[in-house]
Amino acid sequence: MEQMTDNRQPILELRHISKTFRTDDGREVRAVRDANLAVYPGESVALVGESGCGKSTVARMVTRLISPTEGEIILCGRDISKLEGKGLRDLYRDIQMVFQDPYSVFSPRMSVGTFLGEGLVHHGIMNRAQATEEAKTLLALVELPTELMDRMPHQLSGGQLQRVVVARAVSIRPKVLLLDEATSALDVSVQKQVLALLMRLRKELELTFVFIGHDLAVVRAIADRIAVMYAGMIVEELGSEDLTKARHPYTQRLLESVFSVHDRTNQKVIRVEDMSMAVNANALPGCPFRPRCPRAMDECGTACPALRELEPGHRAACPAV
Amino acid sequence: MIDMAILEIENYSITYDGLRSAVDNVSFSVEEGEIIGIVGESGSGKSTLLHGILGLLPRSAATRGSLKVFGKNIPSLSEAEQRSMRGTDMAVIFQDTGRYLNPIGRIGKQFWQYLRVHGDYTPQQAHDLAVERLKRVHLTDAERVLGSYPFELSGGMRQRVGIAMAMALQPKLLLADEPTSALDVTIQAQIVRQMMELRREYGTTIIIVTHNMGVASYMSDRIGVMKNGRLVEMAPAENVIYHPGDAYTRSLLDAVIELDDERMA
Repeated sequence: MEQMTDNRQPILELRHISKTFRTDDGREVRAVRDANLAVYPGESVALVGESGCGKSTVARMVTRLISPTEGEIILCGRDISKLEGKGLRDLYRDIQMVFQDPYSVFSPRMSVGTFLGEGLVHHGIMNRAQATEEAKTLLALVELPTELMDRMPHQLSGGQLQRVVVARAVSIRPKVLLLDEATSALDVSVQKQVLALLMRLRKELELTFVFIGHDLAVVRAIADRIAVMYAGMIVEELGSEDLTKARHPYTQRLLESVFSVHDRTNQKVIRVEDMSMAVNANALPGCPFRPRCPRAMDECGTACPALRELEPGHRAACPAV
Repeated sequence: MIDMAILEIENYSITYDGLRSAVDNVSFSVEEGEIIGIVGESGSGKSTLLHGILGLLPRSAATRGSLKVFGKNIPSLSEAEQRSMRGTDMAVIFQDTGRYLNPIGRIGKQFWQYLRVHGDYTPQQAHDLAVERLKRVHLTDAERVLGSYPFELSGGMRQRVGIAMAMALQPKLLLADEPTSALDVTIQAQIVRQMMELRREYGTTIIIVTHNMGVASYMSDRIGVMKNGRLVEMAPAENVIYHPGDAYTRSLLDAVIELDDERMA
């Protein structure tokens, strides 16, 4: 993928971004550490990892719900990492987001139609009457009947509601759509339909996707490229087609842990891992995966491995691969 | 107990306030040592059914039909009789064990309190049993776990504590309600392995309710598929996965996104 797009400018680029939180008792938690990632126009790039890996912190920085401690975030050619006030508002013309729980973004007493038109009015693109008309078009765009215009959020199913949230996110024609576990709470049949809708919208509206997820199979299905995070670091980056050829021991562990419907007991071995009391992987010197890694070497305890290219478009942060 | 089914359910329904049945005329039986997976989407009634087996339905629920665990008809037992079956005859692991633990009690004390319901355990006896059970679920620093508060443990560790407690008195029947759904994938794999070990080591019969078809397929001897309160299909897992007899089962399987599927992007 990368070699194809090298001559183009990334639409979104993370340059050495880090986020350090300070706990009440003064400890520092490095939620994201020196992350670098380039996303090209029209691409769908996924950040995948388990809870606490920092993927949602990246999402919140990219959408500037929080600021990075260090580093730059370049969106459409400008650094957005220090934007404030009006600059921030303008940012949301370029990037919109959809989160896991649609109820959390809905005001419980706002009708679907009003909700859909809100972004257009807020950004001064349309007046209220025009926005209400547009809301009908938006409903059709996400394959919902216009009768839903006057409904309240609690009258819709989770899948319908998430479609409405997607419709509002794309209403102002952003360039980048950030999807943070956007289909994780949905039942499987609904999830697949919403993913198909998202893929259709990406083409039709020429959107760039940043998809944050934990389900490797889902991420592989909808992303062109995948960045795997562990303990705040991007440990491997590769094309989705090559996911099963991942080389980083953590990515391999993730892949082994997926239960395919066709994995019957006799065909799959799960290695046992001891769980000892909270090792704070982010605070370890050296590679954070070392305590769980079957291939750990002496050098892994001292230096934190950097991402290096294994072949074009495939990078991993592990000296053993 | 010889040749007796562990669980026998016949024309069993659960209704709330006389409205639509949450569980609708379900019949099946489970033999000793079997692992049964019950799958379905949200609202299918699969968790309600599990609560019915446990005798943990709210008072507003009305049941019809019969539901026998070890030959005893659960709905006709008194609350005290039902309570005495839980823990010794059957035990349960929920999606989030942490929610069922007292947040301000150390794990060790809660283990003791759990055991005391069923017998005269001194704190020392409870401690020794707890250490043994925790080590079996691969919590090697069991002493530290027992001295911890629930919030000090990770979700995966709490789930292992839940399994260790559920298995403390070696119940023959383990009911698991979405036991891995709140867990990360690598931890999920560990908990699945743990449950498989229970059958291997103790011959435990397991009924697992899950929306994860992969987990159900991996663990189960037989899979039951529920939709709108009805059991639309129940058959050996191989058959359900490779030759589903019901259209709904097929659509459910089709919706699962797998690592070797054609990509959508």
